[in-house]
Amino acid sequence: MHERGVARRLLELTRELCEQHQVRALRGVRVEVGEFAGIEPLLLRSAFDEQCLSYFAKPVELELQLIPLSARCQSCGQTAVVKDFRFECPACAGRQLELLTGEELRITGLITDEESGS
Amino acid sequence: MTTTIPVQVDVKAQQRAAAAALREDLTRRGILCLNLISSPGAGKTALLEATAKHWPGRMAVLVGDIATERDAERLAPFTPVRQLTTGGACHLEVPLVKRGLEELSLDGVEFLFIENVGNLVCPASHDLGEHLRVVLLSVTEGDDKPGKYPKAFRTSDVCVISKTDLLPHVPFSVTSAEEDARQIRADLEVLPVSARTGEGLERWFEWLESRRAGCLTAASAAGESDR
Repeated sequence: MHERGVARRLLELTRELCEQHQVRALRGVRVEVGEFAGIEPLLLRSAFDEQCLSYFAKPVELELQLIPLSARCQSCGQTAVVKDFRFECPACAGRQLELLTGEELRITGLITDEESGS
Repeated sequence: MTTTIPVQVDVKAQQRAAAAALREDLTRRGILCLNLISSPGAGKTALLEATAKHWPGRMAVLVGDIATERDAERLAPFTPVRQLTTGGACHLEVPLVKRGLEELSLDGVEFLFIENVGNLVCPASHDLGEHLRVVLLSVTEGDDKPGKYPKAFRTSDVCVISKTDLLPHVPFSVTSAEEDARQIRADLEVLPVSARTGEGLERWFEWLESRRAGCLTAASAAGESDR
Protein backbone atom coordinates (compact mmCIF):
# COMPACT_ATOMS: atom_id res chain seq x y z
CA MET A 1 0.00 0.00 0.00
CA HIS A 2 2.11 2.92 -1.23
CA GLU A 3 -0.70 5.11 -2.55
CA ARG A 4 -0.23 7.53 0.36
CA GLY A 5 3.30 8.33 -0.72
CA VAL A 6 2.23 8.61 -4.35
CA ALA A 7 -0.61 10.97 -3.40
CA ARG A 8 1.80 13.13 -1.42
CA ARG A 9 4.17 13.41 -4.40
CA LEU A 10 1.22 14.17 -6.65
CA LEU A 11 0.07 16.97 -4.35
CA GLU A 12 3.58 18.43 -4.10
CA LEU A 13 3.97 18.46 -7.88
CA THR A 14 0.50 19.95 -8.34
CA ARG A 15 1.33 22.76 -5.95
CA GLU A 16 4.59 23.45 -7.83
CA LEU A 17 2.68 23.50 -11.12
CA CYS A 18 0.17 25.98 -9.70
CA GLU A 19 3.02 28.30 -8.76
CA GLN A 20 4.59 27.97 -12.21
CA HIS A 21 1.31 28.67 -13.97
CA GLN A 22 0.20 31.27 -11.42
CA VAL A 23 -3.00 29.43 -10.60
CA ARG A 24 -4.63 30.83 -7.46
CA ALA A 25 -7.93 28.99 -7.46
CA LEU A 26 -7.33 25.35 -8.30
CA ARG A 27 -10.52 23.39 -8.73
CA GLY A 28 -9.13 20.08 -9.87
CA VAL A 29 -6.18 18.19 -11.25
CA ARG A 30 -6.30 15.72 -14.11
CA VAL A 31 -4.12 12.65 -13.76
CA GLU A 32 -3.58 9.69 -16.05
CA VAL A 33 -3.13 6.37 -14.30
CA GLY A 34 -2.10 3.31 -16.27
CA GLU A 35 -3.69 -0.01 -15.51
CA PHE A 36 -0.21 -1.47 -15.04
CA ALA A 37 1.20 1.41 -12.96
CA GLY A 38 0.77 -0.50 -9.73
CA ILE A 39 -1.70 2.06 -8.42
CA GLU A 40 -5.19 1.28 -7.23
CA PRO A 41 -7.32 4.30 -8.31
CA LEU A 42 -9.73 4.10 -5.38
CA LEU A 43 -6.91 4.04 -2.85
CA LEU A 44 -5.11 6.85 -4.64
CA ARG A 45 -8.24 8.96 -4.54
CA SER A 46 -8.85 8.45 -0.84
CA ALA A 47 -5.17 9.11 -0.02
CA PHE A 48 -5.29 12.27 -2.15
CA ASP A 49 -8.48 13.57 -0.52
CA GLU A 50 -7.18 12.77 2.92
CA GLN A 51 -3.97 14.78 2.47
CA CYS A 52 -5.22 17.49 0.14
CA LEU A 53 -5.84 20.15 2.78
CA SER A 54 -2.23 19.94 3.93
CA TYR A 55 -1.28 21.34 0.52
CA PHE A 56 -4.23 23.47 -0.58
CA ALA A 57 -6.62 25.80 1.19
CA LYS A 58 -9.65 24.21 -0.44
CA PRO A 59 -10.43 20.66 -1.53
CA VAL A 60 -9.12 19.84 -5.01
CA GLU A 61 -10.91 17.35 -7.19
CA LEU A 62 -8.76 14.50 -8.49
CA GLU A 63 -9.90 13.70 -12.01
CA LEU A 64 -8.51 10.29 -12.89
CA GLN A 65 -8.20 9.07 -16.45
CA LEU A 66 -7.53 5.36 -16.56
CA ILE A 67 -5.24 4.23 -19.34
CA PRO A 68 -5.58 0.63 -20.49
CA LEU A 69 -2.63 -1.68 -20.90
CA SER A 70 -1.78 -1.93 -24.59
CA ALA A 71 1.07 -3.44 -26.54
CA ARG A 72 2.51 -4.01 -29.99
CA CYS A 73 3.29 -7.52 -31.15
CA GLN A 74 6.91 -7.83 -32.18
CA SER A 75 6.11 -10.67 -34.59
CA CYS A 76 3.20 -9.26 -36.62
CA GLY A 77 3.09 -5.59 -35.58
CA GLN A 78 -0.53 -5.72 -34.37
CA THR A 79 -1.40 -3.22 -31.65
CA ALA A 80 -3.98 -4.34 -29.10
CA VAL A 81 -5.24 -3.91 -25.57
CA VAL A 82 -3.86 -6.56 -23.21
CA LYS A 83 -6.75 -8.15 -21.36
CA ASP A 84 -6.45 -9.82 -17.96
CA PHE A 85 -2.66 -9.44 -18.09
CA ARG A 86 -2.38 -12.24 -20.61
CA PHE A 87 0.45 -10.98 -22.77
CA GLU A 88 -0.48 -12.67 -26.02
CA CYS A 89 -1.15 -11.11 -29.43
CA PRO A 90 -4.82 -11.58 -30.41
CA ALA A 91 -3.86 -11.74 -34.09
CA CYS A 92 -0.97 -14.20 -34.22
CA ALA A 93 -0.69 -15.47 -30.61
CA GLY A 94 2.85 -14.03 -30.47
CA ARG A 95 4.11 -13.48 -26.94
CA GLN A 96 6.87 -10.97 -27.49
CA LEU A 97 4.94 -7.79 -26.82
CA GLU A 98 6.27 -4.29 -26.43
CA LEU A 99 4.20 -2.26 -23.98
CA LEU A 100 2.80 0.96 -25.42
CA THR A 101 0.55 2.26 -22.64
CA GLY A 102 -0.53 1.26 -19.17
CA GLU A 103 2.38 2.38 -17.00
CA GLU A 104 1.49 6.08 -16.82
CA LEU A 105 1.27 8.18 -13.72
CA ARG A 106 1.12 11.65 -15.18
CA ILE A 107 -0.41 15.02 -14.38
CA THR A 108 -2.02 16.26 -17.59
CA GLY A 109 -4.13 19.25 -16.58
CA LEU A 110 -4.84 21.89 -13.96
CA ILE A 111 -8.51 22.81 -13.77
CA THR A 112 -9.13 26.34 -12.52
CA ASP A 113 -12.01 28.74 -12.06
CA GLU A 114 -9.97 31.50 -13.59
CA GLU A 115 -10.64 32.78 -17.09
CA SER A 116 -7.34 31.99 -18.74
CA GLY A 117 -4.35 29.97 -17.71
CA SER A 118 -0.71 30.50 -18.48
CA MET B 1 -16.57 28.62 -16.32
CA THR B 2 -13.53 26.51 -15.73
CA THR B 3 -10.28 26.51 -17.66
CA THR B 4 -7.98 23.55 -18.04
CA ILE B 5 -4.29 24.31 -18.33
CA PRO B 6 -2.61 21.42 -20.11
CA VAL B 7 0.58 20.13 -18.49
CA GLN B 8 2.68 16.98 -18.87
CA VAL B 9 4.37 15.91 -15.69
CA ASP B 10 5.47 12.38 -14.97
CA VAL B 11 4.89 11.89 -11.24
CA LYS B 12 7.67 9.31 -11.04
CA ALA B 13 10.22 11.22 -13.14
CA GLN B 14 12.41 12.13 -10.17
CA GLN B 15 12.41 8.57 -8.87
CA ARG B 16 13.19 7.20 -12.31
CA ALA B 17 16.08 9.63 -12.78
CA ALA B 18 17.55 8.73 -9.38
CA ALA B 19 17.39 5.03 -10.23
CA ALA B 20 18.99 5.59 -13.64
CA ALA B 21 21.82 7.62 -12.08
CA LEU B 22 22.53 4.93 -9.51
CA ARG B 23 22.52 2.22 -12.18
CA GLU B 24 24.94 4.23 -14.29
CA ASP B 25 27.26 4.69 -11.33
CA LEU B 26 27.25 0.96 -10.55
CA THR B 27 27.86 0.12 -14.21
CA ARG B 28 30.88 2.41 -14.23
CA ARG B 29 32.26 0.56 -11.23
CA GLY B 30 31.72 -2.81 -12.91
CA ILE B 31 29.08 -3.90 -10.42
CA LEU B 32 26.01 -5.85 -11.53
CA CYS B 33 23.07 -4.93 -9.31
CA LEU B 34 20.20 -7.37 -8.74
CA ASN B 35 16.91 -6.63 -7.04
CA LEU B 36 15.42 -9.75 -5.42
CA ILE B 37 11.69 -9.76 -4.91
CA SER B 38 9.34 -12.44 -3.58
CA SER B 39 6.71 -13.06 -0.98
CA PRO B 40 7.97 -13.37 2.62
CA GLY B 41 9.70 -16.66 3.32
CA ALA B 42 10.33 -17.66 -0.31
CA GLY B 43 14.03 -18.11 0.41
CA LYS B 44 15.72 -14.89 -0.74
CA THR B 45 18.12 -14.89 2.20
CA ALA B 46 18.85 -18.61 1.85
CA LEU B 47 19.71 -18.11 -1.83
CA LEU B 48 22.00 -15.20 -0.96
CA GLU B 49 23.62 -17.20 1.83
CA ALA B 50 24.42 -20.00 -0.61
CA THR B 51 25.67 -17.50 -3.18
CA ALA B 52 27.88 -15.71 -0.64
CA LYS B 53 29.46 -18.99 0.49
CA HIS B 54 30.28 -19.76 -3.14
CA TRP B 55 31.65 -16.30 -3.92
CA PRO B 56 33.46 -14.93 -0.88
CA GLY B 57 34.65 -11.37 -1.52
CA ARG B 58 32.86 -10.91 -4.82
CA MET B 59 29.49 -9.68 -3.58
CA ALA B 60 27.73 -7.36 -1.17
CA VAL B 61 24.15 -7.31 0.06
CA LEU B 62 21.58 -4.75 1.12
CA VAL B 63 18.65 -6.39 2.79
CA GLY B 64 15.30 -4.74 3.34
CA ASP B 65 12.75 -5.59 6.00
CA ILE B 66 10.12 -3.72 7.91
CA ALA B 67 11.82 -4.49 11.21
CA THR B 68 14.76 -6.39 12.79
CA GLU B 69 18.35 -7.02 11.68
CA ARG B 70 17.78 -10.75 11.42
CA ASP B 71 18.66 -11.17 7.77
CA ALA B 72 21.81 -9.05 8.02
CA GLU B 73 22.93 -11.04 11.05
CA ARG B 74 22.34 -14.25 9.13
CA LEU B 75 24.36 -13.09 6.11
CA ALA B 76 27.14 -11.23 7.95
CA PRO B 77 29.43 -14.27 8.48
CA PHE B 78 29.61 -14.75 4.69
CA THR B 79 29.38 -11.36 3.00
CA PRO B 80 29.47 -7.60 3.59
CA VAL B 81 25.85 -6.71 4.33
CA ARG B 82 23.72 -3.80 5.57
CA GLN B 83 20.19 -4.07 6.81
CA LEU B 84 17.67 -1.49 5.62
CA THR B 85 14.66 -1.22 7.87
CA THR B 86 11.70 0.54 6.33
CA GLY B 87 9.70 1.05 9.52
CA GLY B 88 6.50 -0.11 7.90
CA ALA B 89 6.97 0.75 4.22
CA CYS B 90 6.08 -2.14 1.94
CA HIS B 91 9.01 -1.77 -0.46
CA LEU B 92 12.45 -0.20 -0.87
CA GLU B 93 13.15 3.00 -2.77
CA VAL B 94 16.33 4.56 -4.11
CA PRO B 95 17.03 6.93 -1.16
CA LEU B 96 17.07 3.99 1.26
CA VAL B 97 19.36 2.02 -1.04
CA LYS B 98 21.74 4.96 -1.31
CA ARG B 99 21.84 5.39 2.43
CA GLY B 100 22.71 1.70 2.80
CA LEU B 101 25.44 2.00 0.19
CA GLU B 102 27.12 4.80 2.16
CA GLU B 103 27.88 2.25 4.87
CA LEU B 104 28.91 -0.59 2.59
CA SER B 105 32.33 -0.86 0.98
CA LEU B 106 32.03 -1.92 -2.64
CA ASP B 107 35.75 -2.30 -3.32
CA GLY B 108 36.30 -5.37 -5.44
CA VAL B 109 32.59 -6.18 -5.43
CA GLU B 110 31.19 -7.57 -8.68
CA PHE B 111 27.63 -8.30 -7.61
CA LEU B 112 25.40 -6.14 -5.44
CA PHE B 113 22.25 -7.90 -4.31
CA ILE B 114 19.34 -5.91 -2.94
CA GLU B 115 16.95 -8.15 -1.07
CA ASN B 116 13.63 -6.31 -1.17
CA VAL B 117 10.92 -6.39 1.47
CA GLY B 118 8.98 -9.65 1.18
CA ASN B 119 6.02 -8.61 -0.95
CA LEU B 120 5.09 -9.46 -4.54
CA VAL B 121 3.08 -6.27 -5.08
CA CYS B 122 4.72 -2.88 -4.40
CA PRO B 123 8.37 -3.78 -5.06
CA ALA B 124 7.39 -4.51 -8.67
CA SER B 125 6.64 -0.81 -9.22
CA HIS B 126 9.93 0.59 -7.91
CA ASP B 127 13.15 0.72 -9.87
CA LEU B 128 16.02 0.65 -7.37
CA GLY B 129 18.76 1.20 -9.92
CA GLU B 130 19.20 -2.52 -10.51
CA HIS B 131 20.40 -4.01 -13.79
CA LEU B 132 18.28 -7.10 -13.36
CA ARG B 133 15.29 -8.12 -11.33
CA VAL B 134 14.98 -11.59 -9.84
CA VAL B 135 11.63 -12.94 -8.67
CA LEU B 136 11.61 -15.97 -6.40
CA LEU B 137 8.70 -18.36 -6.26
CA SER B 138 8.97 -21.13 -3.68
CA VAL B 139 7.26 -24.41 -4.41
CA THR B 140 5.22 -24.19 -1.22
CA GLU B 141 3.47 -21.05 -2.54
CA GLY B 142 1.79 -22.84 -5.43
CA ASP B 143 2.34 -22.87 -9.18
CA ASP B 144 -0.58 -20.50 -9.86
CA LYS B 145 1.13 -17.40 -8.48
CA PRO B 146 2.65 -15.77 -11.58
CA GLY B 147 -0.74 -14.96 -13.09
CA LYS B 148 -1.91 -13.48 -9.80
CA TYR B 149 1.03 -11.08 -9.53
CA PRO B 150 1.60 -10.15 -13.17
CA LYS B 151 3.70 -7.05 -12.61
CA ALA B 152 6.25 -8.85 -10.45
CA PHE B 153 6.77 -11.45 -13.16
CA ARG B 154 6.53 -9.07 -16.12
CA THR B 155 9.24 -6.79 -14.76
CA SER B 156 11.60 -9.58 -13.72
CA ASP B 157 14.40 -11.02 -15.84
CA VAL B 158 14.61 -14.37 -14.13
CA CYS B 159 12.30 -16.46 -12.00
CA VAL B 160 14.03 -18.63 -9.45
CA ILE B 161 11.79 -21.49 -8.39
CA SER B 162 13.08 -22.09 -4.88
CA LYS B 163 12.92 -24.93 -2.35
CA THR B 164 12.78 -27.59 -5.08
CA ASP B 165 13.90 -30.15 -2.47
CA LEU B 166 10.31 -29.95 -1.18
CA LEU B 167 8.77 -30.85 -4.56
CA PRO B 168 7.99 -34.45 -3.55
CA HIS B 169 5.84 -33.13 -0.69
CA VAL B 170 3.79 -30.39 -2.37
CA PRO B 171 1.41 -30.27 -5.34
CA PHE B 172 3.57 -27.91 -7.41
CA SER B 173 4.30 -28.39 -11.09
CA VAL B 174 7.42 -26.61 -12.29
CA THR B 175 6.10 -26.86 -15.86
CA SER B 176 2.77 -25.19 -14.94
CA ALA B 177 4.52 -22.42 -13.06
CA GLU B 178 6.85 -21.89 -16.01
CA GLU B 179 3.97 -21.76 -18.47
CA ASP B 180 2.01 -19.35 -16.31
CA ALA B 181 5.05 -17.09 -15.93
CA ARG B 182 5.88 -17.15 -19.65
CA GLN B 183 2.32 -16.08 -20.46
CA ILE B 184 3.27 -12.86 -18.71
CA ARG B 185 6.82 -12.59 -19.96
CA ALA B 186 7.70 -14.89 -22.83
CA ASP B 187 11.47 -14.59 -22.46
CA LEU B 188 11.52 -15.00 -18.68
CA GLU B 189 14.37 -17.25 -17.64
CA VAL B 190 13.28 -19.94 -15.15
CA LEU B 191 15.81 -21.50 -12.76
CA PRO B 192 14.69 -24.22 -10.34
CA VAL B 193 16.95 -24.13 -7.29
CA SER B 194 17.30 -25.67 -3.86
CA ALA B 195 19.55 -23.57 -1.67
CA ARG B 196 19.42 -26.37 0.88
CA THR B 197 20.72 -29.24 -1.26
CA GLY B 198 22.57 -27.08 -3.77
CA GLU B 199 20.59 -28.46 -6.70
CA GLY B 200 20.39 -25.91 -9.50
CA LEU B 201 22.82 -23.48 -7.88
CA GLU B 202 25.42 -24.06 -10.56
CA ARG B 203 23.01 -22.73 -13.21
CA TRP B 204 22.21 -19.74 -11.01
CA PHE B 205 25.91 -18.88 -10.72
CA GLU B 206 26.41 -19.33 -14.46
CA TRP B 207 23.41 -17.13 -15.18
CA LEU B 208 24.78 -14.40 -12.92
CA GLU B 209 28.24 -14.55 -14.50
CA SER B 210 26.95 -14.43 -18.04
CA ARG B 211 24.45 -11.66 -17.33
CA ARG B 212 27.10 -9.59 -15.58
CA ALA B 213 29.35 -9.81 -18.62
CA GLY B 214 26.45 -9.14 -21.00
CA CYS B 215 24.84 -6.33 -19.05
CA LEU B 216 27.95 -4.37 -18.32
CA THR B 217 29.21 -4.59 -21.91
CA ALA B 218 25.84 -3.63 -23.34
CA ALA B 219 25.45 -0.78 -20.86
CA SER B 220 28.88 0.66 -21.51
CA ALA B 221 28.28 0.40 -25.27
CA ALA B 222 24.77 1.88 -25.32
CA GLY B 223 24.58 4.08 -22.23
CA GLU B 224 21.58 3.66 -20.00
CA SER B 225 19.06 0.85 -20.30
CA ASP B 226 15.43 1.87 -20.59
CA ARG B 227 14.03 0.18 -17.53
